[in-house]
Amino acid sequence: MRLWREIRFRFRALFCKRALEAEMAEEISEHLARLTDAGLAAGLSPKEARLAALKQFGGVEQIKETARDQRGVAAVEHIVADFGYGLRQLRKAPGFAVIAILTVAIGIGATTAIFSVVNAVVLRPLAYPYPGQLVTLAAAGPPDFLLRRVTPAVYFELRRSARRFQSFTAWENSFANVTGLAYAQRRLVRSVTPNYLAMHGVSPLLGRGFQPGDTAPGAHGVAILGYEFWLTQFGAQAGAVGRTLEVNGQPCTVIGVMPRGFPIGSAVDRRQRELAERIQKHQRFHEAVPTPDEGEDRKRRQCRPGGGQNHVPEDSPPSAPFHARGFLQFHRDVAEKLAQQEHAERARRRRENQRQRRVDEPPLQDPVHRHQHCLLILRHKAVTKPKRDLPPALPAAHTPPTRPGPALRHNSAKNSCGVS
Amino acid sequence: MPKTELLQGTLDMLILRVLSAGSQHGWGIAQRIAVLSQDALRVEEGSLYPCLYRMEQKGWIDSEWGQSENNRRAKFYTLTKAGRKQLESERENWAVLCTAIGQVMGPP
Repeated sequence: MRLWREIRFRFRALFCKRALEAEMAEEISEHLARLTDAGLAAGLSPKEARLAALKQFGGVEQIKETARDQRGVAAVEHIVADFGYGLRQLRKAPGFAVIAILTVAIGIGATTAIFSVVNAVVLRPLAYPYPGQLVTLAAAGPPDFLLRRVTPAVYFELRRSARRFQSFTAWENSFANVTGLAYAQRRLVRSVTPNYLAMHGVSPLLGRGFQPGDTAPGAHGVAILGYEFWLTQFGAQAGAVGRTLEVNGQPCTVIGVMPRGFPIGSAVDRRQRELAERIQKHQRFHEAVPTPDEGEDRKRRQCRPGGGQNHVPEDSPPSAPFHARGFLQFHRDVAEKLAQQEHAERARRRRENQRQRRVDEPPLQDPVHRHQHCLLILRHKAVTKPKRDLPPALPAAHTPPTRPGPALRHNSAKNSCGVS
Repeated sequence: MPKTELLQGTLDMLILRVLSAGSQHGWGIAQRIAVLSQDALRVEEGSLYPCLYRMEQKGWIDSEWGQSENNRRAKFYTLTKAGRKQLESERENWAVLCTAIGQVMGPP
């Protein structure tokens, strides 16, 4: 009640100011008139009576001002007045006004741009659990050089020697011809090492993830579908798991589907894709090869076999241009050599120091095949809205995948193909 | 007769007291205060008005335009329930204050 009254008064003070002022003026002038009349009755001249009345009443303007201040809307009134004054000043000096407005506009624009970057890079976490524990390793190179790939040789070497990381995974984006569906399609394909999903802490929505056995020599190629691809190409049917696609002519069994929102193509990936398209157009890639640091480079040189038609000559600088496509084949023999060495080295170490050696990886079978049987995630470019009856995405990207959402459980119960 | 300056904050109480006898307009309130105090208080009569507006905003008094005794338009102020309560509490406070000050000053 009290609050309501206060609101009503302030509202009136703001929007019915003229009426209030008129009432106040009327009351005060009436009072003054009566005082003057009293003075006249006491025998003063009209002028004297008026002066005496004003004296007895007090300063009219001060009193009005006090009453105005009491209304509690002085701050608002002052702001409105200041705003009007500012506008008038701007109109008086149009040149200054233009410069001031431009300054503010550019300032806001720059701040927004910087914040967008900070938001994307720093504030918005990656869509995986424990994003703070993930790091990307790339070979040194110019800052805008986005294909800063680590060669298979370096990858194996890193995995062997770097003890600060729990696990390593490698991936590569490329375009591939996907057949075996209604029509042939060109798709973005990410080739990954088997531990890719495990390392990111994500499990598939349907089917199973990659397993070390998938890279066994002679094993069938396997693929996990991106959610959008599954939606558009398979109508979100669980029967997609187990189907066989051909990726660049090689048969590939679908073993699972990733949850919605699992980022297969990030902003960086998009740029990489553009770059890859450019490379495909020109067929040759003239950028410098990523320069590994001194130690790695020396190791690489040491394990480089002498022969091989695709080899960079021993004396050529590490920045010699290379053919971007067929990159993995290019280094296959290097990788083979390295892996053999690694195999031998690990066997020796295991023998020597079996207690200290932590067996955290399955024994290497054939590292060359590991790469030949690149594991695939297919992704559709266009993001399609899911239909109502489709299983929704996993609750949130941050949710650890060990707790599958209700939709996932529902789905797996309904369909015969089990979730691993 | 020399007039005494009004104590700070007592004007509200005086107005409430005057209005407790019935509704009154600004001029009438000033006259009543002068009569009741036997002209001993010096009140700048204008300062009544901000005081009245403030009390109205607080809900102690209500106002209404009406016809004054000399057939002129005037704003009449009436005590509300909240105003009556306020008058009581101020009266009590005043009594306590008077007693306390009287005790401190002692007999002349």
